[in-house]
Amino acid sequence: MTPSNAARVTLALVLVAISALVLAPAARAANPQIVTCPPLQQNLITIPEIKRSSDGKLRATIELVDGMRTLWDYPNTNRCATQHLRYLRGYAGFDPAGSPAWPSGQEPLPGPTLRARVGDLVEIAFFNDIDTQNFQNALDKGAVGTTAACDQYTTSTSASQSATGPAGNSAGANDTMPNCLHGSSTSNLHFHGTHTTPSTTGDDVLLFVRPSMRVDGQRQPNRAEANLAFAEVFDRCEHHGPPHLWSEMPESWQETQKDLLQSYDRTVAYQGQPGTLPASSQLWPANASAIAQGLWPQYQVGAFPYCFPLPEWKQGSPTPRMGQAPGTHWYHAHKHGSTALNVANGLTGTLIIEGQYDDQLRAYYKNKLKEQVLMIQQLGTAPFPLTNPAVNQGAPGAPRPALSVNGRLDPVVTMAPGEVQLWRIVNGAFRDAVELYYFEPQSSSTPCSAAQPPASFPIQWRQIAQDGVQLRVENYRAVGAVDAALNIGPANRADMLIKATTAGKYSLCVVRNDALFTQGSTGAPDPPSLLLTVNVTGMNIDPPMDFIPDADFPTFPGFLDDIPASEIKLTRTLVFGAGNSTIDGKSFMDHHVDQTMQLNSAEEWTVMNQADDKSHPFHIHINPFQITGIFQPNTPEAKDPNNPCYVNPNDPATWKPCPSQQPQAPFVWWDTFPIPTGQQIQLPCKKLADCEPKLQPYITCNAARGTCTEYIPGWFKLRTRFVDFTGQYVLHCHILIHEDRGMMQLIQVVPDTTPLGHH
Amino acid sequence: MSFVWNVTIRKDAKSGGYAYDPPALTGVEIGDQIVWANDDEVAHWPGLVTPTGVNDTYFMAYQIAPHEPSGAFVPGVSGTVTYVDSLDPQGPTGTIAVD
Repeated sequence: MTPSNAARVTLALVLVAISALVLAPAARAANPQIVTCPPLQQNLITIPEIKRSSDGKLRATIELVDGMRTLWDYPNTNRCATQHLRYLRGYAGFDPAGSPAWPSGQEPLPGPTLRARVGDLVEIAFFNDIDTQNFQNALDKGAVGTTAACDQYTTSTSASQSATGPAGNSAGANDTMPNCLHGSSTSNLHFHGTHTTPSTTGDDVLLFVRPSMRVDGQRQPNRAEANLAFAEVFDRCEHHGPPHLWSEMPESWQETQKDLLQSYDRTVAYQGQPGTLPASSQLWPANASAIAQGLWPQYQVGAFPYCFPLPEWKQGSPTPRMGQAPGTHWYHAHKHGSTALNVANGLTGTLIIEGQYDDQLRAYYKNKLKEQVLMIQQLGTAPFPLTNPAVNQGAPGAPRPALSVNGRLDPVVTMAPGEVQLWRIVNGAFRDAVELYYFEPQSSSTPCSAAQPPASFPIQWRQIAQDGVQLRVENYRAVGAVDAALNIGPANRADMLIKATTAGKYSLCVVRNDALFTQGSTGAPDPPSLLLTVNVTGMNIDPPMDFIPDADFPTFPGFLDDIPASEIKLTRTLVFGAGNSTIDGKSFMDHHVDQTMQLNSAEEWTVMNQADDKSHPFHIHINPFQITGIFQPNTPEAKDPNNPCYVNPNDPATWKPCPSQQPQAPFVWWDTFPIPTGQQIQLPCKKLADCEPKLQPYITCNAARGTCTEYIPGWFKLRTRFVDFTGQYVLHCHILIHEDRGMMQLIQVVPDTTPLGHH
Repeated sequence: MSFVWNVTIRKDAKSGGYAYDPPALTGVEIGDQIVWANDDEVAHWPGLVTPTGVNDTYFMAYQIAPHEPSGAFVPGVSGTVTYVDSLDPQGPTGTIAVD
């Protein structure tokens, strides 16, 4: 019997059991235990790392599992409990034997750090082994367009009354599928910052990888069968690249997935009744339809093989047009409707892609440059307090989870006097931006109480890369100047050189904010808070290390030269709405493409924000972009009638970018950038015709309420190239609860050539 | 907020019926979440015991299918509530104490 036949026989037997619903009771995990909170100022945890092999492959197994983890409450971080949380763990290769076990402690670590190199092939066996019984609302349970399909929270308001409402804040009562919280145990992986295929086994966030099914206590598909199939997938991928069609997958795996999906459709419970899933919510018919059309099926059960290249750009070669930028990237769960919750649970990890940048840094520092990988997170069991009606204390001032680093609050990074370290910082928080504000000696019992940074820092920093793309040396001088202000928005990464000179303990004080301005929910700046401690101790480094000089700064890759205006083929404008769920006036729509671009073209987009209280962080997958202009109508200059940059609400001619605030060429590359907030002005006029004519294009009136609002949107201008990869992927707000609630668009890059001729 | 508390509805081999595990949930605070996981072979529907009967939709909108979890219940007031299976009002009871 061949392995695939054997697997099929095994599966057939298993499915008989599924059909009969012979499901063994799973042993339930312990309830949360209120525990003493872990002490602050423990050493920073180094997250286990999976490195590439010498043959140019990053081979890893990543498992999505659940278990007891210790979390702190918020805002009271002195209340802690061990409780069920989803988390990622992993090991190198595909055989757990011989790989170090994942740390068994209860600290809420991010997933393994992956380290690849430009030009590598990434091969990841992904397994979703969540036990759905440990989480409410774990599976989709309703039809698109309905509110009942959204996660429901029943809240008691008195000893005898309760109210049921959908997840979301008070403005979310109209949430409907798919733009609401739902299906939180289904997942996938987004490889944030990669320039690779968005399709099939690549950075495909349109996949839904369901939890494995459990039969007699055994997971299906079983691990051995999956690994056998994935070995074939990876071997084919190494020789022919990622598959284009589902029919290129091993036949046994196609059958396994079909059988499991059909079993799911037959047996899953819907509104408390097993086996009653409406036809419109069944998964196999959707897959069958996609396969028949030559499309990649979106629904998978239990396991999925990711395989994609990290293309290396070579001077003079026609392809790829752009390469993968070496730098600090990351990966995280990205299933629409549960991205925020899953990232809040901690389903994130760092993806380091090395290249010439790393080689030249190491060469300059003679291999003495120690790296610290720092994953900032906001860990919790709800993506926002407002999703929990019992603690809805009013938007947007409700407390948010504390900022942790690698699973600990206020961890200690150790440095030696005279040492320079490379800190690869990933903001993996689902919500907040983090401004690195200042270092101060740790002498008082109230660290970070100074409202303003001191004149000089006892520990200095210089930024050398943004969002996984190194700075040009010109920007290293400016953006990367010593102790230059740095705001790390959600999903942003920053590579920092950190220089310690004198022994002592120091606090890194940060300001949490809404992505672009140091402004909290009340409009006033949040006070600084402590992110981590640096303990400078031990023998002096002699001679002391210093920041890399300009002359030795890593060579800037040619494919990242500025995109000239002459290359721009098309311009377009996107408007992120005043609420938290629309772009261009619409929420995300299944089966609808919002933007279509032609392969190998460059475009210039103006990305606007109508919200006046938060800078929606704009993120687009697959291709990075450059910011070439910015309009910020809420800066002090814009509010000062005596300033040349004054934005006069009564005169649209003054709504112009302030010259002193404009990015300068060469431009920095980003993959996530906060859109400046706009202004909203309530007008005395009651209907549009009665409002000032020259303002009317910027006014929206509510006839029912008799109110009119003037919008002066903030905006930035970006340039980007849609090169190397066709396919469908997304752009969205990286305040992930906004993405889940519909602030996302499906976009498509189409070929610029055709096999058709016309003679 | 918030921690997530679980009550497992478990088949009770001794009695042939079912039981809540734990039968008395303590340590809960306002804003936490409570989820029932049904490990039994039949559906259950925890409802609030009141002087006039069982309020079946107090904690959740639907019954819990076998081997499924419920949605989340979020206590908004402190005190102790007693629940029973709305589908079996004479069955075992459980309590939740909210600090």
